[in-house]
Amino acid sequence: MTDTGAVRSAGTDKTADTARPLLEIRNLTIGIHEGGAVYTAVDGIDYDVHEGEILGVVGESGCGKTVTNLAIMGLLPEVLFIQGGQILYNGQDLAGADEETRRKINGDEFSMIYQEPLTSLNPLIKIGKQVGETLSAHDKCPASEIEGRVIQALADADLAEPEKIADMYPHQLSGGMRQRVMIAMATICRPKLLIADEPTTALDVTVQAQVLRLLKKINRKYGTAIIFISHDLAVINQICDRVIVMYAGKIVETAPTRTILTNPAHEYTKGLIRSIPTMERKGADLPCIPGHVPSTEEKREPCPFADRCPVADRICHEQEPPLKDLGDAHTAFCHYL
Amino acid sequence: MRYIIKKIIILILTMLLISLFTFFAFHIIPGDPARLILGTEASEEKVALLRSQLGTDLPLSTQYTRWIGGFVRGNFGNSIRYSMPVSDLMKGRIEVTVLLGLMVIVLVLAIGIPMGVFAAGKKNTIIEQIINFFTMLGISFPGFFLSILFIWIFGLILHLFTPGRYVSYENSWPEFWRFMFFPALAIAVPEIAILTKYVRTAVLDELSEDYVRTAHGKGISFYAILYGHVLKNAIVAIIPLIGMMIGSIFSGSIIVEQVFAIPGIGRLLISSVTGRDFPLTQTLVMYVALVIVVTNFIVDILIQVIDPRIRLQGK
Repeated sequence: MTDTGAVRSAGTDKTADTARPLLEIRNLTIGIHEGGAVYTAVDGIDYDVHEGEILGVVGESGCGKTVTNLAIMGLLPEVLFIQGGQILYNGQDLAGADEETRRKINGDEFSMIYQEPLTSLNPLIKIGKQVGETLSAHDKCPASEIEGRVIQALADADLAEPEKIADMYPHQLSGGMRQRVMIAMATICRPKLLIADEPTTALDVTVQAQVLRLLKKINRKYGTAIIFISHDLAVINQICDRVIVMYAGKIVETAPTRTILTNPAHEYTKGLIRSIPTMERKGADLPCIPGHVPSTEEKREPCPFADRCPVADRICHEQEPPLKDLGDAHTAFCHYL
Repeated sequence: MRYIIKKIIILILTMLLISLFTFFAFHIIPGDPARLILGTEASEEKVALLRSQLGTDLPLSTQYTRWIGGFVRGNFGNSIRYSMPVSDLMKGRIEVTVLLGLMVIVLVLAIGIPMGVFAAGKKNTIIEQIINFFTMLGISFPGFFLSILFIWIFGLILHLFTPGRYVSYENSWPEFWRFMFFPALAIAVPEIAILTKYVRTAVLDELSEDYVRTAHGKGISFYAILYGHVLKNAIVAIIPLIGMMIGSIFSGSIIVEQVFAIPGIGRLLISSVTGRDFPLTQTLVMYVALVIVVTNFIVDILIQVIDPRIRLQGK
């Protein structure tokens, strides 16, 4: 992707349905092998990622946020596999794509950063070489130019003294610096989509804010769409244009970030928002959602949240909840809306 | 640097301890060298005389300090059986054993590592099963049995070398290597099998690491990840094993030298033990121990060079 034309300011018609989305997830179902049996980890979900937007994916641990996005990258671990559905990109279905097709897309058009930058970097290889590999894997430039571009990418990721850092090993850097290195590595080829899987969870709060700013800068400057996975709505609020709320392998609600925070429709989303600590409630007990996310082995109700939902009725245990369009790109799956 | 000095001190202490163990072990086992030389018919006076000549009538502690004192000055004493300096006996034989050992190490590394990586790359295929079968077979065969097998197959049937006719490297290097290749292979096969298994496991462990996922996410091909990212990490994990293998390679060569009639220190060691030739035995054991301890020392340094994390701790 070139820089010209791709630069878009945040907030302009990103959720418009007129343009074809960058990525379309259609009825994606992901299975998991466990002790000889197959369970469902992600249950037929649909969503779009538009060019240049920052899309948040929120939900408790184990609800399928990471798995869905690893599937987009073709990086599912051995026990997980795509059971059905499509991942449409440029008219091509990546769900069934072969290894070489994925290899060409990964690092060049799609990229990913992870929760643990330390283990995500090879401990025995210098930073400069690891960052440069993304370029050489896609023959982006002659070998003689790689070093210069690596230094530039590290500088772009707000790392001071990039030449020195290029010559260091991962263990010599701080957590925040490592995540910046990961970002430099993931964006050096100017991908169209960057998947950030809880990139700030392992970092200090101050460093967290810097990394979020960096991601936002990359989004603005290069028009890189970002899927931002987090369990933390407060972090989502700082960076995302639009949010998908996932629960037990299903999407329960989708809306622009402001709508989710001010006017949540689904009971699960309401519970998540209630459990964000605020200054007004300082000292009081933090409300939480009773119960737990069902594990993959447990039997699923037609509405996955029925067991924990305060308004659930008999129908919630008998029929799948319908998709309700609440206007302004706000949709939710619930019988009582 | 401090790390290296610390290691050298440990090395010296280890050698000292080994010398103590060897010395006392050989003096505890029954068998009097004077008796063995003179035979059971000899008179007590004659035996006593020989004992005092050999110095075996002195207290053990005096014998030890005398021996170790000479040892560090390069004087290994005289062989009881051959009545000549131990150093003269070892000359020409040590080189043969060292060359044999080196050849084994080269074979083990050159075959074991690529095969292990290859086996890991072929996980869940029939090829993996075949490799597993052969590594199991390789581990199960003792070196001396393989020696006999190789003499029969490569010597008697295929005529690739002449069994029993050792060619000294002083006469012809190519002929020397040609003869030595098969004993080296006989020692190497079980070690190759073990190394293959370990490398395979180490590589598979590394393949499940996060950095491998990152590399896939960057669009690097599987084989580039295997050889460019995983192998280096896997080798750090198996280097200590390679250090330990040196020991078993040397003990393996003792028997195999016998079978192939190679004039190395292996044969000398066996005859010196049966003849209670203490000065010779002790020197040989010390020598083998030194080789093992020094190679492990080198291995420690090598890990430092490869793994920057350990380098940092040493500073």
